[in-house]
Amino acid sequence: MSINFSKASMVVMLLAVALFSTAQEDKYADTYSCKTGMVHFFSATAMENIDATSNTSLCILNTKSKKVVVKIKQSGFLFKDKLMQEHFNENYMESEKYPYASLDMEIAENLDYSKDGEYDVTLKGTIEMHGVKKEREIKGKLSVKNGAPSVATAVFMVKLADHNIKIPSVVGANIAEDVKVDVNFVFEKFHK
Amino acid sequence: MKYFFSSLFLLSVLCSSAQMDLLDSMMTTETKKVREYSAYTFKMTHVINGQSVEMTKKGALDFQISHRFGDAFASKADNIHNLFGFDQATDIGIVFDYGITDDLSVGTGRVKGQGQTMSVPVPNGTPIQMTSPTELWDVHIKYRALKQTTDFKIPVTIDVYGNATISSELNSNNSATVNYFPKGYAGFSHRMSYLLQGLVATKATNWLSVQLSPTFVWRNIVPLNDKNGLFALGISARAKFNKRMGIIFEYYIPCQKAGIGGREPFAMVRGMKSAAYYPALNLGVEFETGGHVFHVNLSNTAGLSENDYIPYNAHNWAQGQFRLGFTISRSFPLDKKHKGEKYWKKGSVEDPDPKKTQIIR
Repeated sequence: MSINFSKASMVVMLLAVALFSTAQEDKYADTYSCKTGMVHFFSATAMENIDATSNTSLCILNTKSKKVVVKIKQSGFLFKDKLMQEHFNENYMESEKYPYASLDMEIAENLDYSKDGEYDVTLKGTIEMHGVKKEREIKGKLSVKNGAPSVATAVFMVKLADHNIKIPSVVGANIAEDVKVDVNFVFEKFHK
Repeated sequence: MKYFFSSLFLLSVLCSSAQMDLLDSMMTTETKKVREYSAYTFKMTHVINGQSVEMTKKGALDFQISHRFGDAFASKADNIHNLFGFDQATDIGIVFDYGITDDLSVGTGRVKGQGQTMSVPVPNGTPIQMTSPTELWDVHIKYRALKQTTDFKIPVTIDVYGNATISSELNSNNSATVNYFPKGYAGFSHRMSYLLQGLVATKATNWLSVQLSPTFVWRNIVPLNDKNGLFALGISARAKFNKRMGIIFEYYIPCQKAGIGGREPFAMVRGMKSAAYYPALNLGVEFETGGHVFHVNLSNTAGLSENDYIPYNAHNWAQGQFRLGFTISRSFPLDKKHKGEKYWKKGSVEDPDPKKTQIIR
């Protein structure tokens, strides 16, 4: 009886190990990532243009679950004018308090990754910035190459008031209420 | 079977956040690869009167203008008549600073100088009346040697600051005073004083910065019984209480043997009223408006230059000898060459069109 029991438990254990190991193997099968995502924003007013770029944004795309997550480090944005960069981090984004902006989204369309080409995609989910979450729908383009996602681009507007970013009236003429954001991610197979 | 489905459900719930967790861990490993330096330890190149570790940014011209009023409560009879020091200007100064690189800046400045009146006792004679040198012109250089990292692997930022100051005052023609500037090399050298300072600061939290500034001042001419070389220790701090405002604090104590030049240790704390010189204790509130940094302060130092207020500060808080003052700083990016520098790669994304994004008010 005791032998039987140990045998049974052994089988269960083996099965569990087998299941777990396959799960480990398949865990990142449909996962693609980008470590040098470019995020560029642009604010234009009659007084001055403000723009900055970050080349350190991270993105993970899962072709099976259709989930897309993006993380952007606020202090990673580089400005031409260092004083603007200081104001961006200290007065507007409060980068020490809210170090990252993130996107937690899902691709609405069912894409056929076996066919190469450029697809129009719609992302639905939330943008979290300056500690405030906002439900958004973003339209973008995803190009598929060799059965895998290759390059994703999108251009969208972010309303500063949506994320509780206040502009004092004295500099109101210098900063646009809506900021244009464009992103460019080049994907590669995810490796842990 | 029931358990199987529920566990499958649980697994799917876990998976949805798993991707974000994976991204978080990826961010952590990516962040560790790059060393990130602490920024904005202070808001200005000066804390109040003394230097901070902050540098003028590369290619920028920093312009500062400071004003210190007269003693606020020094004399009961005059308080009302000079509106608590408002009618007087004990010191006025302008400073220009240019950032050669992000870690090296040079500059020049001109301060009026407090012109502190001193009565220096002379053995077997009547005390000599004199004033501290005024009309101070300086050239200065500041170099950042070490930068603090946000992970505290390098816990401090270290700067070295030095200046050479010359007084353009008229000759007093009295060889016993510090304003004796005869013709020739001796007179010229009497006009000079120098400062060498180390600035060690740490941004302890995102709201609190603390700085120690060991200082050495050299004056070529000093009053009788004083020393040419004077060591002092500065302690400065900034506590940010909202994203645009902070409280600033500064304390400079000369480290000398008691009695030299009339200097006593902790004269203010001991409540002394007869010491010739007192340590500098300054307090202020700093405002950051878009582009300008502005601070209003209360200080017992009448002079703005380090070479003036460290050796010659004869004002005591306890006797109402403190004053209102303000400093305005504005930084102008001058470097046109770097304006065109590309900080981003042009991807396949269309170039932003200003017309489309412009908001009409």
